[in-house]
Amino acid sequence: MLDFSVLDPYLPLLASAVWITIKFTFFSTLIGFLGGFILALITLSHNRLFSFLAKAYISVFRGTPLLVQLMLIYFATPQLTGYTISALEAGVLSFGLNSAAYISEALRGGILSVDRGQWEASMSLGVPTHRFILDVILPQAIKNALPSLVNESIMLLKDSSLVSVIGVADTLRWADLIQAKTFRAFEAFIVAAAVYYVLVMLLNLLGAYLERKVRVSD
Amino acid sequence: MIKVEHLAKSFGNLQVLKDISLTINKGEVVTIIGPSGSGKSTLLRCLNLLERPDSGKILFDGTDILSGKVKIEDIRKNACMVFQHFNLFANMTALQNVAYAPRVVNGLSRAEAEEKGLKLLKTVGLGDKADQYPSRLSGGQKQRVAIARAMAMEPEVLLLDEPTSALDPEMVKEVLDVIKGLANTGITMVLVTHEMGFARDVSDVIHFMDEGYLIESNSPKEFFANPQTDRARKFLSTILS
Repeated sequence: MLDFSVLDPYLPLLASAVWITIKFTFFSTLIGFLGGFILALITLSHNRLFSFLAKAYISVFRGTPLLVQLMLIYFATPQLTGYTISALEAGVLSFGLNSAAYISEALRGGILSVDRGQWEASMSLGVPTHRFILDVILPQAIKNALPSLVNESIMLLKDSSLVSVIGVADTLRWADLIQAKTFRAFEAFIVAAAVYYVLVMLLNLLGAYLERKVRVSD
Repeated sequence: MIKVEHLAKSFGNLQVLKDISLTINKGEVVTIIGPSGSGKSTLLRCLNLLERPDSGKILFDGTDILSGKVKIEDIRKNACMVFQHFNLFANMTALQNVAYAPRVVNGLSRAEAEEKGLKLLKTVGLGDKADQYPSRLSGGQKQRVAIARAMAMEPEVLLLDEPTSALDPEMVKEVLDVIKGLANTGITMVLVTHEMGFARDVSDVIHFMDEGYLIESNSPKEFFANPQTDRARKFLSTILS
C-alpha cells in the first residue's frame, strides 16, 4: 500500500526545497538576531521615545499571528509601495521582523544579567561605549541567552513551513505538490516531516556545541 | 597635577560632597579615609567622572575637566580605576582583560598589548594565570588582575576604591603588597581604604572625610599621631581600638 518509489522523480526537487528551507531559516534568524539585539539595546536605553517605540514594536509583533504578518507583508507591500516583493523576500522579512521581537526579549535578559560593574570598569579605562557593547556585553548576553536563541531558531525552522502558503517552493510545498500530482499524501508528508525533524535535531546539536563553547569562561 | 575646587555633589536630597577642595601633586600617594557614607568613594568617582559633580571645578594639569571641552574618554584613560568588586570582564581571560583597553583605546596591536599585559601580570605575580577566566580566580587574584588592567593604560593617576574591602582576610595582604610596590614606583595614586596601617605606611598625604566634608588633611605621621579635629580623633579611636 505504501510506495515510496513514487517520490523518486521528485527527489532532486526535494533537495532544492530543503535548501530553501535552510536558507530561509538562516536569513530570518540573522535578521531576527541583529534586529533583536538593536531592539534590546533600545528598550534598555534611556531615550523614552525610542524605548517606547521599540516596546510597541515588540508588543505588536508578539501579539499578532505570524501568518497574518506574512500575508500583510506579501500582499500589502506591492499595494503600498509599488514594489513587487517576492514570496521569499516577504517570508524572510516577516519572519525576521517577528523573531526580532522574541529574540530582543531573550537578549534583554542576557544584557541585564551582565553586572553594571563591568560597564564602569570599561568606562574607567576610556573604552568607547560601542566597543564595550560589542566586545563585552554582546558575548556575555549571547552566552546567557543562548538556550532561548537556539529555541527561537528551531521555532523559525518549523514555522518556515508557513511560507508554502504564499507559494515559496520549500519543503512543505514540495510535499503538497507531490500529493497533488501523485495523490499519495502519506509518503510525501511523512518525508517532509522527517526532513524537518532531522533539521531540528541538527540545530539542537549545533546549539549543544555552541553551549559547550561559550561555557569555557565559567 | 589635580586640583579640586569647591566640589559639591548630591544624590537626590542627600548631599554627599560639600565644598571639597584639595590638591594632588604628581607622584603623590594620597589616601582618603573616613567613616562609611562620608563621601570618600563619591569623591574618587568624581575624579574620573564616573559621577558628575553638581558644582565646583576639577583641574587636570590646569584644564577644567567639567568644562565640557575635554573628551570624557581622554580623562578616563588617564585616570584608571580599581574597584572594590574587581569588575573584570567575565568573557575574557586574565590576559585579555589586561590587554583589551590598550588595544582598543591606545591602538596597540594585539601582540604588543599582550606582551605588555603579560609583563604586567608577572609584576603582580600572576604570570601563570594569564589564560584563566575570572571565574577561576580567587578574589585576591582578581583584584591583582584588575590592578594590572588599570596599569596597562599607563594612567597619569591610578584611583583605587576600597581595593581590599571585598576580600577574604588572608588575601588582603597579597593585594596590599602589589599596591605598595606600585606606590614605590612613583606613580600618582589616590586610594580610598579602611586599612589604616596600610594608609599610614604608603601615603604621602591623608585626607579625612566625614559627612561630605573634607575635615582634615595632613601627613600620615601627623594625622595618626596627632589628629587636629575631634571627629578625626573619635574616628581613629573607634577604628584603632
